[in-house]
Amino acid sequence: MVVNPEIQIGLSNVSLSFAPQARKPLGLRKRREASASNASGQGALRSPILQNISFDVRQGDRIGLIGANGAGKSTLLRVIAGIYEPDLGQIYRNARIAAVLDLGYSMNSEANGETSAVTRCLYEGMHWADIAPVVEEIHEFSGLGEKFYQPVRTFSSGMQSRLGIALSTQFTGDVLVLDEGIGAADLAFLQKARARIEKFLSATGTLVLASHDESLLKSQCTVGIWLAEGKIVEKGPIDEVLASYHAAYKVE
Amino acid sequence: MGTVYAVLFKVPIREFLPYLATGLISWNYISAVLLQSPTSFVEARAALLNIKVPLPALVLRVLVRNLIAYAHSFPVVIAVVLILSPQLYSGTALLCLLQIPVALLLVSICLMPVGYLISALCTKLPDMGQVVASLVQVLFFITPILWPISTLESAKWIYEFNPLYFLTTTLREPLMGNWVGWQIWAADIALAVVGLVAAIVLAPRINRIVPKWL
Repeated sequence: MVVNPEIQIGLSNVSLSFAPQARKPLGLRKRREASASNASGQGALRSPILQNISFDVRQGDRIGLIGANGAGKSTLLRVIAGIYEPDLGQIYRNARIAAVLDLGYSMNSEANGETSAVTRCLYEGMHWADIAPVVEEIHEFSGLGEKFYQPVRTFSSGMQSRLGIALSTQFTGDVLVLDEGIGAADLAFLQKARARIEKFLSATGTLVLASHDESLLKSQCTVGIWLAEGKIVEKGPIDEVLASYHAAYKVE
Repeated sequence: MGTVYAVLFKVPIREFLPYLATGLISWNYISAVLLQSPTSFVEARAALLNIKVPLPALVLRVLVRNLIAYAHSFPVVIAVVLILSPQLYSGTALLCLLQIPVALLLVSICLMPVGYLISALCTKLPDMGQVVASLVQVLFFITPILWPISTLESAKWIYEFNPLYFLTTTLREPLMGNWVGWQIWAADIALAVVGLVAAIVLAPRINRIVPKWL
């Protein structure tokens, strides 16, 4: 693969499918019939999630992924983040990638905010010695005050998402991979979170964002990629892609 | 429990209780790792779907958790031996305790690939966790924990082909103030090699596919 220093992430013909899933639980007899009828044919039903995805992410790109539910947006983000390895095709990474997929995955409902923050730091590969100031920063950003030291299960859902956002936006890389779903935090806090993300982006950060929120897409992204059933339907300037996405839905 | 079996096997309780205590602490470590492995990847589902976590780290997590449990039981077992059979630790026998770290390390190395493979299998087939639990229970009864080996003199094969016999013995002998026999060490090393080879061969495939199974 030609190494272009500008390309931070390159995908070529990436395909991914999950293990065959039966449409519904079958009885033993039906299952045998099903496997017998499949034996001669194409084999078991595989569900392709991504098919032949190719595109490059260059430094400073703001890419917005759009598509219906189940189109493969989140899966594609996970491939970019290195969580799923593609079955076919190649992915090339030349950047540190920070992925925000689910908020607060390191939150343990029995543990308190502080422990959750320490856990996240460890997941991010930090050394024990460097953790304390980062945890303090998370504490401050979350604005939870003394509540930070209470078990997470006693948090209201808004407080949980505050902690989640504080944890998730703490760690940045060269590329920010963001799955929408900012959750139930109050407005003032959302602006704080957005400001943090924008600060990162203004420092020539690269963004790959999956969202259904058009105003967010239009304000943050320059390039749009429209996914449907795991394939790229259209790639181009965000306004054009959004327009043809709408047009397609009107026809349907 | 100790009293019941001491009578049953016609062994003086002063001899039997230390044997039972050292056996149980050893068995508990091994069985807890086996029993907790089926859920080790599933438990970390959220993390695995959000960040690249090396799967063996999750197996290590199970090992460390149970080593901590082991450390908590350790003083109790030592106290039982000192109170009931202090002669076990007389003179040079005390040096046998120095084998414990090596024994724990080697047993952990044996358990690591086993835990890894069980974790992977049970991520795909969660119901296998029940099978593992039943197997461990059966193995408890056929491994010399409750009963002294001497009672099974006529049917040695029952434990001679049981890998868990070697692992528990490795951990128990130092606590009983004995040197672990070279045959036991050799069996452990063989187990570790077989397990590690199997795990290393399967690892690239497992590491790729487990996130998709979650």
